[in-house]
Amino acid sequence: MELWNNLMMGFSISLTGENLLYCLAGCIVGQLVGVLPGIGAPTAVALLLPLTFSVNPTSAIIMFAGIYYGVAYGGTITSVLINVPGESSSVMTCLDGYQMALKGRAGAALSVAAIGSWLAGTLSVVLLMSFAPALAKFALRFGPPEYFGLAMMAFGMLTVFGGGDPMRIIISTLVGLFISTIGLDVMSGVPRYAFGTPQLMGGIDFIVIICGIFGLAEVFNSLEQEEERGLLKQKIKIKDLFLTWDDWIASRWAIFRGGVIGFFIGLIPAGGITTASFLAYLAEKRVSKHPEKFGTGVIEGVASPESANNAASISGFAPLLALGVPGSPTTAVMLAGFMMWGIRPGPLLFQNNADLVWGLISSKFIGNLMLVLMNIFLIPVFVSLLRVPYTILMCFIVIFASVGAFTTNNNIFDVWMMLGFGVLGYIMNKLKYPIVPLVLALVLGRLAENSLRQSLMLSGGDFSIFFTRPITLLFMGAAILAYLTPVFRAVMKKLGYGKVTLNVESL
Amino acid sequence: MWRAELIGAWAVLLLGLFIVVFSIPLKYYTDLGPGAGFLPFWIGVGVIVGGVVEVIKVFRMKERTEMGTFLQPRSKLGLQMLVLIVITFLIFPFVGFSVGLALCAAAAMRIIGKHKIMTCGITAVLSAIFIHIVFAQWLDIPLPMGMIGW
Repeated sequence: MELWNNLMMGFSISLTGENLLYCLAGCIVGQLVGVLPGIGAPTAVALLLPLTFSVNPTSAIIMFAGIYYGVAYGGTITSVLINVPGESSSVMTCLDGYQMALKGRAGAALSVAAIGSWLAGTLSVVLLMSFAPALAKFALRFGPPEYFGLAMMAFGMLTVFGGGDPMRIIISTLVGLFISTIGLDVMSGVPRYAFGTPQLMGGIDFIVIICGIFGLAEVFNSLEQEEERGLLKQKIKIKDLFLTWDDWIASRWAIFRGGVIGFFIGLIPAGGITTASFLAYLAEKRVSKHPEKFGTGVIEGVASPESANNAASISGFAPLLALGVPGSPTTAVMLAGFMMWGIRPGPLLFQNNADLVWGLISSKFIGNLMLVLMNIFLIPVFVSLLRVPYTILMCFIVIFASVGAFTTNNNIFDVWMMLGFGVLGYIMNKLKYPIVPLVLALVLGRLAENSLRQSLMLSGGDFSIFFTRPITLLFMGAAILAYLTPVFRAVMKKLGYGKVTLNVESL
Repeated sequence: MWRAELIGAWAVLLLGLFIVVFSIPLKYYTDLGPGAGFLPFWIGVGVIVGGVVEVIKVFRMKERTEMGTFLQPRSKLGLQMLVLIVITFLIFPFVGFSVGLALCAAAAMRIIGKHKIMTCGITAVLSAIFIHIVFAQWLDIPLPMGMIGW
């Protein structure tokens, strides 16, 4: 009953004219970002974040959530029509979606993706409603050692799900932690690595870094790649978008399974929507009676990953809201937004800012509905946007990134700093040092350091505090296991068990 | 690319050394517990270890010639964009934020996108108006102004 009352309270907030507009704006921007290759959800949120200083936090977070799950919808369009995923989470959709388009079934592919995303998204919101408050209640027992363990687990999970060289993931995480230490130490008031520069005393603002490392770096990287916009010459009529009875029968369980897998993967810190879509596709192929047909244009191959990525994009809010630990780069950027508005996500958020939490959760029902309608009736409009030259989009990114960096402290120093981080992001990308661990470490750095130091103060410098409390032990155990995963993989490979990592080729 | 990988690995190692060296003047431990230098020191040690592993890995790479090159044919577009952005930031004190960014957009469209001069000109004017109205007026962001007062 309490859940129902909370949900109704949420709807009374999310259904106000202002919040509906912000939700719609978020869904449209998310859809656009998903459609346009070369700009991702974290970039879009990072670029818009500084512009929401004066906006009501509930409205702003509703908009950003709309962007996040809107991207999961939008990425499908390019995957199906031009075999180029608008987002990494839509990579798996290319395999069968593009094949369906080649067979003249682009409309059905787009439709099942939209409807599957909606159904799985709604399922995920229902599960989130029951799960997140319970998680928050559980997290009320957390002290500094538990928070340190949680941060370690989040960093560790990156080596499992991050994709790429584990050592480089660790280096990237450490660099992020280092950047978070720059400025005055909050516990002793001693400046660290500021070298007398007044602008560095308060630390490097997170917004400045993400505007550079996501925004500008993406411009440099995208300019280097050839534009692949060979749009399939296929006219999509409204009637093509309606699914046949056979399509429904074939995709119903794929949607459900994708939704459940996506929900649970989204809950894991660093799990991410891309991993969810990979695992859902893999699971669907495993349970299928005709796995050999996957990759040739079967509708389950589209329904499952699309349902999973949308479900994960919604459940990814559970660790953010209940624990204050972001599960993905986009929620990491949103965490910075919460801090900017003076709100601390975590167990107390459900008590202190119930209107924000339930307004956000209920807005997801509305946003998902808006997106499914947009995806069914406005696909030709979004497809036409693919013809916009990248140089124009690039100019917008540079403008928003520069203004965003300036806005944080109203000084040009931050704008130069943003440029520096843009170049760093470009080089890291070229040398295959992942950026996501750096961003996550940057966001969680202060929490990790403060909880580490507080824990050691409590224990008188005894590190066993991290292994004697049950919850901390669980988190630290998971973190250690996660860090050992690359070693296990290497050993398994040497023993002849093949490649255990997730990649498209292995599917 | 091999050379770039090697430089990258050395850069990581040097960063680690930098972190450790400048963490030493900070207090490692206080009467209350770990000091301001505690975590940075261990981060630095971790980065050094990572850097050493990377340097060794790069030296052990076999197919040095098959790794491609760091700079590719289209890298010059990125470099052009970088130069344009640097020039834009340098001229901010004279032309202001709105006009500076608008000029940057027009120049990028002309030099990188090869759009017509007229298109670039219209983009510049519209961009300046957009930045001024949306950011300076509507969102009330005190963007630095130039000679024309924008």
